Amino acid sequence: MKIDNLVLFIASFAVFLSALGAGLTYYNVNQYRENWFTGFALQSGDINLTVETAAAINFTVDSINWGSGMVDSGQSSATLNTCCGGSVVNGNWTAVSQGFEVVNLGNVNLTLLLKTGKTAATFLGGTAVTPDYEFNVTNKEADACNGTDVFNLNTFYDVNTTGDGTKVCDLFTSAEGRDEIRIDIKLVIPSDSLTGARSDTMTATIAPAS
Amino acid sequence: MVIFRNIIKEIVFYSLVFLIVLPSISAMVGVRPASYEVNFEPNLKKVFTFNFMGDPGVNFEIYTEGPFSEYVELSTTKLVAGNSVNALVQFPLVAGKPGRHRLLVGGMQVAGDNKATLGIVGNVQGVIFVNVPYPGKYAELDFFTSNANTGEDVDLTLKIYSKGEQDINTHSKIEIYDSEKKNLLQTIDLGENLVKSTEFVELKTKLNTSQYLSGDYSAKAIVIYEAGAVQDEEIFRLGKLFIDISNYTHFVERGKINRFEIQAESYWNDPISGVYANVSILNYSRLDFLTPSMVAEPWQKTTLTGYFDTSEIKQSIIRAQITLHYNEETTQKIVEIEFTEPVDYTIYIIIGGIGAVIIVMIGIIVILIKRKSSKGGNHGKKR
Repeated sequence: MKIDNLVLFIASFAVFLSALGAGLTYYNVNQYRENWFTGFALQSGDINLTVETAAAINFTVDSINWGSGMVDSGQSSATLNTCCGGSVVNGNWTAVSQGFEVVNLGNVNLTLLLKTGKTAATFLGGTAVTPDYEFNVTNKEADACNGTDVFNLNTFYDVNTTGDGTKVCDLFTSAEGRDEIRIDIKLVIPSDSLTGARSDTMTATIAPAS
Repeated sequence: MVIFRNIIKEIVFYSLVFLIVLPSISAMVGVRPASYEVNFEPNLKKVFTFNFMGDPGVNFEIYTEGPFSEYVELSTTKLVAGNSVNALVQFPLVAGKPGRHRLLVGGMQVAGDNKATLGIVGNVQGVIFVNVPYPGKYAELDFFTSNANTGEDVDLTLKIYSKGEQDINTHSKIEIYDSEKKNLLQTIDLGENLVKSTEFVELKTKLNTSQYLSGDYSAKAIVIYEAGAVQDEEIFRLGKLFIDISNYTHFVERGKINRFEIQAESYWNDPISGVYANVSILNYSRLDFLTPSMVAEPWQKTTLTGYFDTSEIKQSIIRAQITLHYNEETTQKIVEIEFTEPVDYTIYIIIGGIGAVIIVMIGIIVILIKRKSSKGGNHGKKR
């Protein structure tokens, strides 16, 4: 019985609220009776915005470390290569399968040049064989880089220490899905190479393509 | 004690994993805006601001390079990523070589302590393109065309730049040729214009294609001015509501459910939704199948994929009718599909199994013989 009373009370309250709402609506509408169109301003407006350009790259892999090792006894040299799964031939360094990886993060197409701080002679030294310090650029995503007239992708070239280095991409695109390249490194270390911790830094120079 | 030891082991393990992964942590460097454009004016003084971006803590050494770099004053030569440099350029009285020059404002990332054998850093260059006027009158142009469907208008846009020291008076026209560029189909006269030095004029017109058939056309823009003429060519396409079957799966395997792909190439200048294929295997009507529907993008190839079971088929080559359905239109093609005979591994499995059984049998016989001979030896000793 008590529940019935409660339900009756709630129902009555709901009816009261509805009536109140209807009254308020009528009052508001009545106020605008002479102005049927409200909130309907006819004006023209300009929309202005500027999309800024940005030239930016991200090194998703920014270091290569073969650790410590030496040329196998009886061998004149060892070859270390990050390409194609990574390999160490005639040496006991740890194979590295990751080359540098560079993504064009910006919204403009870029030119890309690569330069190293050292040559094969200053980085590795030795005379048992001619030391080699080479790099190779490949598209991690198809058509990311088009090479140049004198630089082919998928080919190893000697490093360049002069100026801004070797131009490797006339056009390094910013298009989504084709904006990532990989740079592999190959070293030929003579058995009488320089010893101790050897290190070098490669510089990737980018600028907007005209 | 054991739990404590395990925790230590886990800490050491994850620390090692972290150290191994550490060298692969990415590093970003960049500059914004990427470039500015400025027309050379004697004694013009202007500030260009470049913001060099990078991961927290990345340091840059700022420099200028290229033509006019000797006329640039930098607000700083060193900055931390996230900060800006103001390059104050004050051009000389005389520019020298005319044309478009690249004045670079660069930020060389300062290499950190490199523990690895090889590291890589960024050298980011913002560009101030400086347009130096050619002596006298000099015109350049940009020409753009749009693709359309037959009967629709083609947008033709011509930008005439006056890149000389003097204003130019131009007379412009656009000639429309067939795809082989042999037959002149139409000439659109764009009239005369005055283009002031270092400025440009943009001319827009539409080509009515109601008399044109679908296909590729060449548009040649010609601008004649006091010092000569410049021209530029663009190809545009007029589409027709047609989707071609440009390729399909040629080989399938016997006795299994095969994936069948159809490459559909659209010749229409708008997306066509609801494109699907109905593939009827001739003489095997029970194997007919449909592909899910796709959207064919303008002038693009789309792959439609379906599946069918080849268990019932005994022939080495079957024929199929591919029917593409789109916008109440159809394209049909009857194609041949060949079977690649899969390698039958059964015989190898049987031979391998027999070989294994023989080896096991020999092994058992050898063991039995050894046991027998050793028993015989023991009897001898007892005696």
